[in-house]
Amino acid sequence: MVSEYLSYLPLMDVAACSQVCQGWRIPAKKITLRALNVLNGKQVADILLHPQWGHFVHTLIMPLSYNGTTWPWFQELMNLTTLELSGSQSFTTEIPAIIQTFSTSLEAIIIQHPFYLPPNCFSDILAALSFCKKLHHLGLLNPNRSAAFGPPVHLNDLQASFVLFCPHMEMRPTPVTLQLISLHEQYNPREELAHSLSTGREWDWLEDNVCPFDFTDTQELAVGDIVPAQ
Amino acid sequence: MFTLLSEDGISFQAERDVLERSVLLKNMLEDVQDSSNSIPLPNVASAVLEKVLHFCEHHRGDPLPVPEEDETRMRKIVIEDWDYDFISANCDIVFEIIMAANYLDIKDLLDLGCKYVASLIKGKSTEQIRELFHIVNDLTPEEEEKIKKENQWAEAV
Repeated sequence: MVSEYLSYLPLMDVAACSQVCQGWRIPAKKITLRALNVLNGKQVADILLHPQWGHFVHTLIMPLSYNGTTWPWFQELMNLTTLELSGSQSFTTEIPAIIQTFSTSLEAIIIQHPFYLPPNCFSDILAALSFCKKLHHLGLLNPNRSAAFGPPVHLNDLQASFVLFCPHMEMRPTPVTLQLISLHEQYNPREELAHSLSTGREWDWLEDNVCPFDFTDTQELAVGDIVPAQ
Repeated sequence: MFTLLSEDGISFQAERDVLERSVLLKNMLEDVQDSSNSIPLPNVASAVLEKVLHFCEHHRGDPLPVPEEDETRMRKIVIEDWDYDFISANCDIVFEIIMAANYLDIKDLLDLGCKYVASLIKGKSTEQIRELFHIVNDLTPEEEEKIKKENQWAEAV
């Protein structure tokens, strides 16, 4: 029950609780490791020392260049429900494999990338996301390019990768929310930039016959452009 | 009317819609058509069961709480006036009420108890928390020092 009490407290109070006695230490860890940011040295030190605490992690925040697959704690993230991948100049080719590793538990994925990805990277990511059956929040954000995420992928390439990775159309994830712009832009749209960067092909992946997702049940759209909205 | 029997042998009567605030009792009552037999609750003392039934009586007909969608975020301590008066009036048995709510699976009572305990902890030092709950410190000085170091990042957040 201790971790239930602590779930209502800010981290400063949780830290005080973790020093109360032996019995309160692990429940406090359950709270402090719920959201693990791989750039937070203390959190990473904790989990490196105790890989088994990986099952406390529900949200993993990491740059797209981070490849944690070799760490023992990475294999312990069996309760991971949210993955937040943030922009970096480089990009590990392991990202699709990482997404696939957690595909049975992932419910929300936010990928924020300030640069265009190589065409095959984007379609590989889409293919990996098609395995995440519980996915209800999908956020693919490109803050520097306004509404556009990813390159204008050729429809044939997308179709080929989609056929390869997602043979059963009825098994596709059904996101409840689709977010292609940041929350800031959602409320402060940069209309001109969005249109000037539009190539006309960048939304091909949303076409139903190649799309790894089924948007039939989608209730919230934050897409910044009429084309993807349609 | 159905009869509940506490661990110390005291009987309590309540109507079906009151008892159905408890998921455990709701499931049990689905199989019970004859209300003449009492339902034993070997884990709940009469003093606690009386309070639990008082809470369920007050909330009869309320929509049942839904599970949290995002469990990774810090939950907020928001307590309605009646609930606050109820739990603070019974603060001497709050942990027994929490354990009973957990056993009987009464989510809104469990949440209320946990929020109340969290509100007692909030802003207190480690030593003050120990005093509040009469907890003996069984950590060695080395362990305490180690945990303090581990917690430095939380202070920066």
